[in-house]
Amino acid sequence: MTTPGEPIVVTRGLAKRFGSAHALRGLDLELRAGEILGFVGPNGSGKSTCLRVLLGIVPRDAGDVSVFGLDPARDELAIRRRSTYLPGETSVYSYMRGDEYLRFTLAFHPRRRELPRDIAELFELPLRARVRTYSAGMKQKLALLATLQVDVELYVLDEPDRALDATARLSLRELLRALSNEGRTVLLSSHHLSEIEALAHRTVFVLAGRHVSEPSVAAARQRLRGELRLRLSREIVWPAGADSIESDGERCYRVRFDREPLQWLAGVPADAIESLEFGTTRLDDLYRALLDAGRADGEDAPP
Amino acid sequence: MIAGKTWREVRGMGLAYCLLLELLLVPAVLLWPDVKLGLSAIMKMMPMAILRDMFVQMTDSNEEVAYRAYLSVQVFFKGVNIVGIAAAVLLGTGLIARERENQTLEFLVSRPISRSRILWSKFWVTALVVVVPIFVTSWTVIPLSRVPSVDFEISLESILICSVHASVFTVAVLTVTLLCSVLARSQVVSAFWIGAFVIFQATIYFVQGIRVVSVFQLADFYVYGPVMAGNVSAGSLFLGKTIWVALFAAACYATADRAFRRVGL
Repeated sequence: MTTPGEPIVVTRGLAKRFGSAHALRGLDLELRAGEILGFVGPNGSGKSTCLRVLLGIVPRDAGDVSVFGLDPARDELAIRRRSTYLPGETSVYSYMRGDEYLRFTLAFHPRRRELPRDIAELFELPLRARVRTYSAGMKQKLALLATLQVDVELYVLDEPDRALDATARLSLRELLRALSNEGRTVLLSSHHLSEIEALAHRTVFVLAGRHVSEPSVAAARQRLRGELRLRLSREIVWPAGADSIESDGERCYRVRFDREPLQWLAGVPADAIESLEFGTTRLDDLYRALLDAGRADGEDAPP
Repeated sequence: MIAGKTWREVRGMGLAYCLLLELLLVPAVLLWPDVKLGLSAIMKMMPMAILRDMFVQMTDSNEEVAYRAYLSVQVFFKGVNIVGIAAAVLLGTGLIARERENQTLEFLVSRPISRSRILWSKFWVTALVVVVPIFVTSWTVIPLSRVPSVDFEISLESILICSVHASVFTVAVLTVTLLCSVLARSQVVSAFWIGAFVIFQATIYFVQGIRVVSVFQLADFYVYGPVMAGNVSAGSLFLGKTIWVALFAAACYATADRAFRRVGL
């Protein structure tokens, strides 16, 4: 067993190519025991490849990787005995019944954990029915049940909230929080930034196969701190003094400053302001800022 | 786990294959007296010398010699070589390719079980499903041949020798199919390659000058006929032919295993 705070996953300069395409270009990652780590990046940024390398499903081309102190290229079975993985594509056998599928998948691990009853009820499925009759969301719930009922130390989840409705996503949050409270470690890749924001202790951004460094993230946060989000009830004439004003939906605006915004804000008619947000950094804004900057960590370093 | 899942996937087709072999066999045996009368006429229409030679033996004046030759054609040369190979191809093409196509391969290879074990679990169950009907059907020949209209005694030994060889040959086809399934992106692609291989081999079998390079020469009438006639011993067949087919199957399986350990998702 691992002790809290102990490094579970460590990668240094992880690289992987598929033909001429670079999936990973020197990714550094660290995940500690008991942590929920959010893994965020656009499609094709290398997140799924990284998860597959960690579990020894695909071999790496370069870099150092350690999971539970083991090398996935040599000890993949030992790593997989202590972890469970939910692939990004829903992979369920449609000819099986739901209960058959659960029996089949859970048989690969010796121990099961009971899900909190109130949460499990929200994941209730017609287990006697064939999986082929399930909707996409039900198939995803089944795959999640099969993954989260396994009693292991590390849960590697590639887009677990895909195809889930809002209720199921809330239940999934509770399930993942319960895992964390039990001291288990979760590596969570998702496109739903709100899920990551609500759950993850830390977030790693991946762009073009590289992680975005802490200084880059801090700089982006700093830029966003000087950003004000406004929702107006009517059109107004903007007061002078803002660096830029961008529309972000109907009568929603993002206003940027490089100085104190309160004086500028005094020029906005108070009765026109429906809502106002300042000084907070939303994950989706941060993600957009990082994408805009396009500066993955190590970009200038040799591959 | 994976063996159980594979059994679940192939058992229906395995049962259908067994029934089909029996359905082909029973009327063939029961109608023997009538069939023999028409064989001479059919023989004259045969365009290829290799098929004419086969009919010569089936129309031998010695009724028992003719019947044994007829059985080796019906049960092994025609039955197993056509239906058995079709079953091996149908069952084998999907073993890995279908998992890849249905996006379940990633789930499977991420479990705490080696890829070699996954492949072996899938293979041995499918091999059993392909082989058991061969033994069942060929054994049926013995009581069936005792019906009053036929009434010949067929030895268990000759049936077993032919069944072992036919099984090894069919399993060899299954290993080639498995290799295609490992390498192909989908079951259709896998079926295309193995189908092309079988058709090519069958075609060259019927061409006099190059027949020697066809794999079907290892499991044709001229292999089974002498065994059924009691002219070839088990040792002679196994050491002369079966062992090479088995070695080929082992090499194909080893290649498939090596490929599966390296292949992507």
